[in-house]
Amino acid sequence: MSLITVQQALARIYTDSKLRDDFLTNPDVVGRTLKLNCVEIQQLSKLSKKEVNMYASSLRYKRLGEIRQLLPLTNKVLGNELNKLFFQYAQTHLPQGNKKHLQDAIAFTKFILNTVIKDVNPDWLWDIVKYEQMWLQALDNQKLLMHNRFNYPVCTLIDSLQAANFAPKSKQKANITIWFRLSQKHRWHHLTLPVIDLQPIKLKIF
Amino acid sequence: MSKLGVGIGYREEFRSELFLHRDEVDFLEIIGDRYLRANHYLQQELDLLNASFPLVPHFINLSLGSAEGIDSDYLNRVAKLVNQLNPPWWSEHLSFTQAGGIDIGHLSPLPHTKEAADVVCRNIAQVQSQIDAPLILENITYMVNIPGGEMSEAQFIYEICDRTNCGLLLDITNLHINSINHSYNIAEFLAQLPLERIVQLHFVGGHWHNDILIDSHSTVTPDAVWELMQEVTSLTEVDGVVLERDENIPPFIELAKELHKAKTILNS
Repeated sequence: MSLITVQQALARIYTDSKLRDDFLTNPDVVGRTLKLNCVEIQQLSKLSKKEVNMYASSLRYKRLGEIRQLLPLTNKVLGNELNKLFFQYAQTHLPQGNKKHLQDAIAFTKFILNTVIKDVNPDWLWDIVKYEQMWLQALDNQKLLMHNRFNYPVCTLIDSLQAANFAPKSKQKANITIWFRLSQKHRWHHLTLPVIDLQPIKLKIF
Repeated sequence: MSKLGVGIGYREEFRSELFLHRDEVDFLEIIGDRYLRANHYLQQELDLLNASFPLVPHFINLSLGSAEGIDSDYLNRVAKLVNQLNPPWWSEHLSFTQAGGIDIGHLSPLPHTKEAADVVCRNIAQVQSQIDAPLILENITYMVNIPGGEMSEAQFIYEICDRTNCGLLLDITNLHINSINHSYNIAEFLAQLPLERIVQLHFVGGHWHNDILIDSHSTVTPDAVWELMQEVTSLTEVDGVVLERDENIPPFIELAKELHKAKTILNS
């Protein structure tokens, strides 16, 4: 038995739901695509379907737990809906690398912003997700300056969400929030500036 | 090895309270992975902890059981951190977490075979060539039984500890959980372990989900685990005992009660 091949196959079986279902249903055919030999296929076909599915589910829940911690406000607003969205997202996304939980959370916010909440209600949820995404990116990169545009006064939204469980009452007011720090050793700060609605200049020609 | 007493796995959530209960904590076990790419803030945190408590680093992602070998960049960072802290010992798990470019995201069980034992011993030799402080190995919980085992889990641990001269971090909660989920006898398991190699214990409580006991580090330590701690510490001398709470973290005073109980058992 080649432990390298077996571990590579197990890693895919644990983390890829379609491949897992296929393998557990038809180990002979799928095992060959995983480069397992006959002995290895025979051995892994003895895996308990219940145990493997349970382990795979625990891996997803572990990721979800990390994401909830990294996106506390999104979690607060979405509640149980966040679980559904995450499991939808986890079908196709698997984080890698040293900052995998951070990368996972950033990728999940992109998933929410790009594919899910186009017609979202409340519409300020968009700003909450974007705000938390910015903070995660701030943790992840070497930059000293970042900015993003929001439709609501984002600091008011955040303060009211942090203070209570009810939905904040806030009127749309476009603004730009700027994140900055003096060096990579310093903490990030952010400030919000209103977007000035410039009227078109009317030229008079004499 | 130094006798450290009763400590706790450091978590940022109770940082302030920890310093208020400083006298009740003999040492801290830190998750080494947190500081491998430390920014200024984390480096300050590490310096503060190091100045305030004896530290023992605990790692999660070295993947000692990977047949592909160890990620040399990760190992270099681990070595740098451990050598810098110069702890009485440090720990990793008997598991694999990566294969074929996939990070599984958790500690996955190894088949209990001669080949897997060879792989772990080879990887540990590489690790020991870079790190002077003694490495101790932790038993994991597992949901999946890997078919094709040639020996019991306890024999597998015994062989690896024997060949590598590593100590053992016996997670008594993991042992309790596995004994329930896989219906095995703890006394038989302990009889096959190299008890004299046990350096440290982990303890905490898990939770039930669909008739399975989950190693969630989320509840108070159950009576069965306290009894196991009593049993193990009566069989062999242990240098350190660590409460490993990660979820549903209560006010520190509750954690301190568990530390006090562990101290009573360790000193009895």
